[in-house]
Amino acid sequence: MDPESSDKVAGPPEVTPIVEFDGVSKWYGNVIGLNKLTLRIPTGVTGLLGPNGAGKSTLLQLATGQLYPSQGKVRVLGQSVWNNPPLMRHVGLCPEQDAFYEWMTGFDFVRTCARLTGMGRAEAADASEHAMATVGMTENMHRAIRGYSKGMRQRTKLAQALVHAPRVLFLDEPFTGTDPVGRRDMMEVIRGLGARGCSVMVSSHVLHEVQALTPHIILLHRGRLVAEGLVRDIRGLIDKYPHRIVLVCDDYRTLAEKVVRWDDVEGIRVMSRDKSLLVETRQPDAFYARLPALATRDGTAIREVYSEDDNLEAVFKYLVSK
Amino acid sequence: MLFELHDVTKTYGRITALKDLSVSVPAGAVGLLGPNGAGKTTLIRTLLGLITVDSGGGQVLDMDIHARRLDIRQAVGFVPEDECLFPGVPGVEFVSYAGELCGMSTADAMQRVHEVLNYVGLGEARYRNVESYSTGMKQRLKLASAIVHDPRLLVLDEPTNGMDPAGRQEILELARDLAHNKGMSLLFSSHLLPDVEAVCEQVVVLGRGQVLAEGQIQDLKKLHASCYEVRLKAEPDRFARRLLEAGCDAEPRDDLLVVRLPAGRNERLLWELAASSGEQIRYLRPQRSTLEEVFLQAVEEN
Amino acid sequence: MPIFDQGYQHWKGPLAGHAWRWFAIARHGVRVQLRSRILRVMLLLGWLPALALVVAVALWGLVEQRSATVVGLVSSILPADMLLDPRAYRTTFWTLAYSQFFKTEMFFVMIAVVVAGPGLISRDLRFNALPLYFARPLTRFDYFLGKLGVIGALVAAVAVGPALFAYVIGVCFSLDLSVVKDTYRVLLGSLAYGAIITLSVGTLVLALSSLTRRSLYVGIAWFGLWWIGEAVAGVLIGIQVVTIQSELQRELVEKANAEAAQALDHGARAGRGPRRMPQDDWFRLEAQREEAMSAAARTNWRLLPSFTANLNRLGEGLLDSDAAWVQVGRATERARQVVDQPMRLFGKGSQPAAPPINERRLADQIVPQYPWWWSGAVLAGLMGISVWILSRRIKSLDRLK
Repeated sequence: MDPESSDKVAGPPEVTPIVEFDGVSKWYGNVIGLNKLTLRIPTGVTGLLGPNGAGKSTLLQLATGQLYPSQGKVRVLGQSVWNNPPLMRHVGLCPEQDAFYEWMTGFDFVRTCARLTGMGRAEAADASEHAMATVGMTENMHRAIRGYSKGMRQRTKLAQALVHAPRVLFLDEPFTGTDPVGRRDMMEVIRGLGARGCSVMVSSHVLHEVQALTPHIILLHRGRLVAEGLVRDIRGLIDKYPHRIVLVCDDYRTLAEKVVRWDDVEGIRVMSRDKSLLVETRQPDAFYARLPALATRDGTAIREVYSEDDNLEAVFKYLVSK
Repeated sequence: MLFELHDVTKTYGRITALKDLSVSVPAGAVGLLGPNGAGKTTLIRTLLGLITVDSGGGQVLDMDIHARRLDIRQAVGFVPEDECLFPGVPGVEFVSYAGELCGMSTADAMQRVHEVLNYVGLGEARYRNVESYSTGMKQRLKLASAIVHDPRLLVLDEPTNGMDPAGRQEILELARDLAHNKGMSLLFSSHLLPDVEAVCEQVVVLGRGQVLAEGQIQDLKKLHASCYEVRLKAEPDRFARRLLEAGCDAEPRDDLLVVRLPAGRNERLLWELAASSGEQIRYLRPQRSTLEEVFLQAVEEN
Repeated sequence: MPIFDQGYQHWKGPLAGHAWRWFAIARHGVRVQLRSRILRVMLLLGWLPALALVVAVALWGLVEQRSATVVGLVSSILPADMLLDPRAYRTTFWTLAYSQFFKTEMFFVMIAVVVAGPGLISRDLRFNALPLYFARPLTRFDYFLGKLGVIGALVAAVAVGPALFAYVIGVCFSLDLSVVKDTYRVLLGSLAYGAIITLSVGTLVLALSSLTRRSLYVGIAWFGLWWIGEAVAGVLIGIQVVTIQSELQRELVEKANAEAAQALDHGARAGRGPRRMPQDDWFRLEAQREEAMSAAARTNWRLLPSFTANLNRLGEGLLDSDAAWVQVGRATERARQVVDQPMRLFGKGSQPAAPPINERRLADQIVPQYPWWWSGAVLAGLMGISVWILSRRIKSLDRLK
């Protein structure tokens, strides 16, 4: 077990969870959507991951009050979310589906959504302008949605989720169809919200996007919560697969000689094309601790070191491969 | 040459989709990047011989884009971005029809269909109607129908759209296998830059109907001499101070430190500092711009 | 043997030329449509008139060979003249048989097309198959031609195929190759008619199919076009008939009143002189009505709203059934004349003047008399609109989105 522990939490530390799931199960006839899910989501940006059919959409629908749990309780900001319109004032949802009133302009659409949350007319207009500016749609907001490209539609969806300055935000695949420029801008917006004390949950299939947003993730598989927390911590808890660390060294075979003598090293793979070694170890902490001493000795100048599977893709693969 | 275009211009009313575009791409796996509205779709359609350009010309696989449009589509396979299906048939007949539309005889098509479906990993589902397929299966089906006639160039438009991570990995592996091991050239258009990096060696960046950057990915990703990215086990502040004392430039970024070494020193200095201060270096790599940085820089320069 | 590489294999094989692309589309379309059980049932039902046609020409062959049983069987249906000299009436009979076959079969063709036709393009639009088509080496024209080929296959299966088959059977039963010389016009006419039906019906149903993504609406529109057209034509003709009839009756009543007034003027000679028999008036009215209808028929545009009536008109023109009915008319009129004369000689009967011999009576009543090119123009116009709709709806990919 890696004794490493970390108290890093994305955003300002706040102990009260914003979204709570307490032993929640949901089934549709014979099909189970979520299975005894207990979860506490703090402020900051959290990634929601899982293969198809894992229960991500069920989770989002339960958290936004569109479904009622078959078992257990769902609470947002301390209150039950079912049939609770005043609470919805503080919750924003950017759904995956693309369904707009095509004849409206983007601005009209967002303003209508703002009015629906209970804002007054002037307030809604102001808030809509602000929201459209935040997502970078100011020049196009007075055109009909019918003529929007996919990226513009995504931004409009995000704008309608933000317009009422919610404290809790759920984003389902927010980056589909956006180009890298748009994606970068939207990521900044989301990070900013997380830093300001909102609780943002981003569900996505594109792992490197989630990784760029936040190290804090929730992993679902077959309706159960498989892992929760920082990616690195989770990796530390996976015993089944040894850590794979790459060392690049000109004199890699000599390095291999030295490294193989360490107890915690379980395997070495020689990659002659890259002049590197791929070392497998179940005690990465001990391994890393010995590296500086090794690297300063002659003949084993280590030019690069990095872990091949200390990332979200590897964690995902290890935990949910069929 | 895989394809080359000379001064191609195409306008639709007031909108100029391609403006004096000239590009020359050798065979291999090439990624096509660009912001929305840059003209990627128009470029792909031009290469497929589907549209008549206003001016300029070019060749795809040594076939002129004006004169030999049908022949080009004979030698090119295209996987479109949006959901498309031939309705009402099982997977096997779907791919077989795709082959027959290219001129294959029914017998040839049937034999080839099963080979190709095995390759893309569609098992028993091939006998079911295609309307019942999941997104991942539909993408594989589209890929199979694009390679059934053994094209020399395969054009993939956002092939991993909407797929879960496992499916995405498989499609990328298929693309990589086709490009690197089977000698098929690839044109990979996507917004997901790590996907492009995983499959292609070269890249073309479009913006506003023109080419903003092109070349081998490794060449475009410049190596910053003497700059390293470092991550430690503990908080970087203490180590950063020691680096500054030793004469380096240390700048925190996310959870990394970007370190510029003084002239004449190499990474050994970092190891020595780590050894003497009892720190663990967990990540040490020379700084290289990512493809995303290359892209954003190319787009913002124009 | 080295281990077989189970990965991707390259393929080099023969490729059919571009000219065959439409055929691949048509073949696939037919295969997909034949999965529907309803269509298969409709095809079977559509073969019933074909069966009748085969039986008819076979029987005629036997009549020509003077087979006693057959002659006895049909003597009640056909006029005696035809049975006495079948060879002379060969063309007539074949023409009429085929003409009736096509008129009946038109109904089945329309039904089969409404089962198989609407999905041809509308499903491709709904499932967005067009990018897949256009990514391949074929043009929009190939696509249309292929889809039209599906309709063509349907028409061939239901109408043209059985017609050809019946022709062969008929020739066989005649045991006499000169039948081909007499009836080749029927054969060629059938083929041409089949082509016209395919083009006209095909382009129309494809155009309707391309307008919407729901096949149901196409079916409804098809029925609407068909039945409402027929209904409108029927109403117009009805109005015309009633108008003519009432005109004539009014004239007759006026004339009778005038004569009665004259008689009163010339002194009342009531009760004397033969009263004219009402039958006289009736026959005269009939004769006048026939004349009026014949005259009107030559410029009778009232059948044009009905789609099937237009097709029928062209069919009758191609098969020249007008001449055939004239022949039949001649035969029936002669028979009536033969019966009437002796009756009059014997003064039997106050048989008044029967309507004069009119060999065109049947032809005028049964075959539309207006010029064929009116129908041709209507169908051509419909085809033009259909083709225009198709080219607007199925846009090539040379556009911005």
